[in-house]
Amino acid sequence: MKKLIALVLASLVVLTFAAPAMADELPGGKEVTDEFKLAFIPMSTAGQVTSICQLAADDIMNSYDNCKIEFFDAGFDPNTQITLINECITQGYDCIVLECADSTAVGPVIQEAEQEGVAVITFNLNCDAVHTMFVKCDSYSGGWAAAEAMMGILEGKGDILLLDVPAPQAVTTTFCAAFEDYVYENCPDANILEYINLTGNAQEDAYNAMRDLLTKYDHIDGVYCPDDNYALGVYQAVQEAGRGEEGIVIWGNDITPGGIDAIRSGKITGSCWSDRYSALHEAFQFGVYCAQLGLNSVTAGYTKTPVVYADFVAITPDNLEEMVPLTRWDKVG
Amino acid sequence: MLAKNKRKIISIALIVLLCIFFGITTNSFFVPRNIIQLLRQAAYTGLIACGMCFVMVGGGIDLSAGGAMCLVGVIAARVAFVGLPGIIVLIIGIAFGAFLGLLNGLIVTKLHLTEFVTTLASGTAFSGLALLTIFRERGRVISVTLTNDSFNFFGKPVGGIYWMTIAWIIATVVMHIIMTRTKFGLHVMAMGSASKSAEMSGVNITFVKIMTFVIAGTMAGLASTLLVAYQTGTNQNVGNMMEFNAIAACVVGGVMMEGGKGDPICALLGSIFMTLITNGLYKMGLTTGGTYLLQGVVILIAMAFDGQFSRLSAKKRTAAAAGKKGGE
Repeated sequence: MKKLIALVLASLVVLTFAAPAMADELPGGKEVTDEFKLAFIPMSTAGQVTSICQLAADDIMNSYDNCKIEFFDAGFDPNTQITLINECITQGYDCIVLECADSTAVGPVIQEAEQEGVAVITFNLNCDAVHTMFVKCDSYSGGWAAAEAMMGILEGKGDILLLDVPAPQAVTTTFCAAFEDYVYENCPDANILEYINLTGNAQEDAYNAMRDLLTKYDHIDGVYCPDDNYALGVYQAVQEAGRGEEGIVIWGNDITPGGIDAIRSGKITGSCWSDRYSALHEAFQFGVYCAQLGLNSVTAGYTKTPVVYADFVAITPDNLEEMVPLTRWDKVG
Repeated sequence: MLAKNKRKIISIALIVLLCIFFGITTNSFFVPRNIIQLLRQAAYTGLIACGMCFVMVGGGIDLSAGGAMCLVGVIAARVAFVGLPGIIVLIIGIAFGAFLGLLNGLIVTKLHLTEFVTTLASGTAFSGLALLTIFRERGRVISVTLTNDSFNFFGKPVGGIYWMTIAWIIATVVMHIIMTRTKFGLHVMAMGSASKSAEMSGVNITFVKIMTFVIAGTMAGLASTLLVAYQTGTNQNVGNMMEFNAIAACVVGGVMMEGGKGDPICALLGSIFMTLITNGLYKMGLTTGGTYLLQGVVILIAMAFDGQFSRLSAKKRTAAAAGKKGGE
């Protein structure tokens, strides 16, 4: 009997010491005290929106002392993005949050990363290969919301121009496709004059394109651009062509501080906004969770990538002031 | 032998020093995965640089490599998409690249235009043609994943080494033999050193020039097709800025911009050096901007060093010749 009691007591002592250690170790993953390395590889870090992304990353790093998030710039080039992903795998990153520069090109290396135990979470733009999660800022819903609002102002009719992102990037977004779909389905009296891909991402590129289009078309009712920067370039061209009095409706996207000011001052009619901060915060948060649990599409046996949706909301002068705090631009200056 | 290969020995020494430096300062440099990927990335630049070095040694320049790669990528993807066997797709890609090189060569020699302007224009035209022929849906460019396994096989590693790397090493060896051990190679160097003298000595300058462009096109075609197989699809960014990377690799490796000097081994060393810099700097946590900046600085230093090195070598040769004359 004494021996049995001694054995039970001894077992209790062992368990008492072992329990904290066991609690610290999560099934299949790292210990919670280990450092977690996350990589964020957007198409480019050059845009203003990067500061919102940085805000989300900072908040995550403030919440988890042992979490480090590094930003990498792919410069809109899928090949550079492949190099960076390979680099992250080699450097032992636990999770990669990725905005795909090309849905096909990065597929094989994403699969490789997942096979090597790195969780890949795509953000905003998807990839064909099965991976851990896709947080979708749905560009289709963005184009649809813009069309709905813009065509509402134009009472469902008019001549519209679509100035899309450069062709290589247009592969990954469906803003203009959604816009066209809305117009074809709901506005039989509207006419899409032309769809063009800009040659670059700068305001200057939109300005140059619009300057030429203004000489080509005598009558334009609206211009949709999936970027506030482009919308400002369009506004500049319209003013310089002396056609500011025609009341051309100019619509942007992905609201920026410049876009907010432009809507306030009436330079552009509206824009769209998707809560990029929350979407990315969610992606990072899930990345930490995956790293802790050693979870990814391979270990979980996914046959399809799970998707989380973040919709776009149209911003007009009517709802601008109540939307501005939600954009968090005030927090990043 | 040692004096002849001094420039190459310097390049190799620099590569070794860089490897040691990155090996000590980072903990993920000397790992098999990194070496394999480093060689794959170097192979991409290296294949184009291998072809580019023929044009440069011949005294020319080819700024159409990026555009040619983009167009070959689209053609290869389209051919692979219809389900042709991988090897046939590869041959078509290489042949189409050679054809684009031939076009460049013919324009330069028959219309008597400068290589710079001709290839700048043709590269833009190739990119435009690629944009017109790329996969589209409702008029918009789309991304198509290739499911042609026999073709995608060329994008996968064999025994841990990528086809791109294998092709690069084989191509460099073959091209090096052509450059250094054949009459044609000698003619390329002669054309680059003194075009007029070479012509007067009976070298068919037109043929040699055309062939240098054909070789450059062939290499661009091979690199592009293998890249499409690796990415299981194509996009508008295939070949983007690759002509400049290839030229930089050649210059860093010791191919003279003025022509007449250099060989595919120089291009190989330059490609490894350039890729090594990027690879190591990423590992050291340098930002992309910083990496670009340092790459630029390295190219400038290499060019300045090359200039000084050539001047010193020329001085030594002149002094030696004068000494010989004095002795006589």
